[in-house]
Amino acid sequence: MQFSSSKFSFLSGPFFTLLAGFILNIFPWGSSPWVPDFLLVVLAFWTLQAPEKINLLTAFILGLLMDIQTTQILGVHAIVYVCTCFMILYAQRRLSNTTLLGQTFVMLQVFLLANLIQLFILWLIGHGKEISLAYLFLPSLIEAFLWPFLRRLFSARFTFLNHNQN
Amino acid sequence: MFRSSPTLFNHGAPFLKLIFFLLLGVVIIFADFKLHATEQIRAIGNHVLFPIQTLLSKPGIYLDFSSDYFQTRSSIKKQLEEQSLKIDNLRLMANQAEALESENAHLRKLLALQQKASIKSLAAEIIYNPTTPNSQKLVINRGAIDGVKLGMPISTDVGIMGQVVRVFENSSEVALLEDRDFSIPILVERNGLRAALFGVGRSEPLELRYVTNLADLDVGDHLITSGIDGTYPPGIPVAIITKIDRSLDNVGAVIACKPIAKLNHHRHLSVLLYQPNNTAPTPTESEVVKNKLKKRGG
Repeated sequence: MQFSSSKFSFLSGPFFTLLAGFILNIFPWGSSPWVPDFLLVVLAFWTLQAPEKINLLTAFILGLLMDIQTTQILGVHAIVYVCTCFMILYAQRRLSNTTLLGQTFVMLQVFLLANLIQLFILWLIGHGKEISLAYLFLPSLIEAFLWPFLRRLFSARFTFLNHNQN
Repeated sequence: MFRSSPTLFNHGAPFLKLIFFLLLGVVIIFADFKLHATEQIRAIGNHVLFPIQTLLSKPGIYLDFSSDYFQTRSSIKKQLEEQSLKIDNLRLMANQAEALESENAHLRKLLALQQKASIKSLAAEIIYNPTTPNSQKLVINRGAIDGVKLGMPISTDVGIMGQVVRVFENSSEVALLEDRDFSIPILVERNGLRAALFGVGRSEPLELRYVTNLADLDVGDHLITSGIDGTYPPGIPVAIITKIDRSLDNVGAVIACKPIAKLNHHRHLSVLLYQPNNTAPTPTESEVVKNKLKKRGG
């Protein structure tokens, strides 16, 4: 892929978009089940689009940082992110050739599984009693809802930089 | 096609890497949850994250030096904030005085009390409250540098709010009263009954456990800190009893309480720099180990 010499093209690269996702996660949203994991969506996007740039180690380190950020038990987000990355890598070829709608539905399942893994780990640890199922469904739905917008936003960058009328 | 070129020798998903990272994750979870051995990883991560956190919590302060208007405005605002904090602290002291007055009268007759530890407080600001499904915590902008230590109580102007559970250099984590596994020794203000109050978990009422069916308790009773454990200063309001369910079997009454401090409403709070002048001997480590060995043996 040939990037044009646009000065600000690096801003839409994986590093800065992941940072943006992380900052969105840090935002003082309060602790309600409606808050999606923005970083997870951005990470999923880059795993799908540029699997050679994102590997499981990236996901693991980002997960550890999220654990420290959210005062969670260390390693919970890390495992969730690694599993999500793996699921997308597993179906990467097929998934990147489907339509936007189909992709969104698959991503909904991936996000549901990711949140389920998180709740499952917490349940194994013994913190599962007071967690309502809203924490499984609401974030996953919102994350899947964000997916098409995110793909449009980021893929517009590719066509713009390549001067392609796709 | 906008996606990047596929690598030629990509043989699909990395199973071995997945297994490696899953195992690593499990080890880290175990180290953190059971052994509490990951404080250094956390400290390092917190050093990385702290600039971002402060940047986000105070988006305005970097614009302030640009104009006079903003400077005067910000200084006035700062003064206002400081004064409201001062008022908060005074209110807290007044609350305490009320509770102490009723208690002192009949306690002083009985014995010469050891001198009460005076409470200094440190104003702190909430940086953010993290979104986790399994705990109720806050992160505040005071850390080890400011003199915060592990276990220090946190209060608002009306009552106890929680306790410091993890200290970093510039920030610290606070578990709220509602957090699971949170416990605090209390005293019923009306009759001096001692008990222990427990947090149950997210948005559930607090529980007063280990109280018999016949205990003299009523809905609306105020619970204050007893100061017995030495962690909390005595006489600070904690909660109000909202519901009592006296069961017929021998399990004991199920008592629900509501915290007096509004846990989700404040931006400023104070860390009570409480150093109890408690001279009771603490068990040495060898004794603790011996006891554990005894338990395992028996």
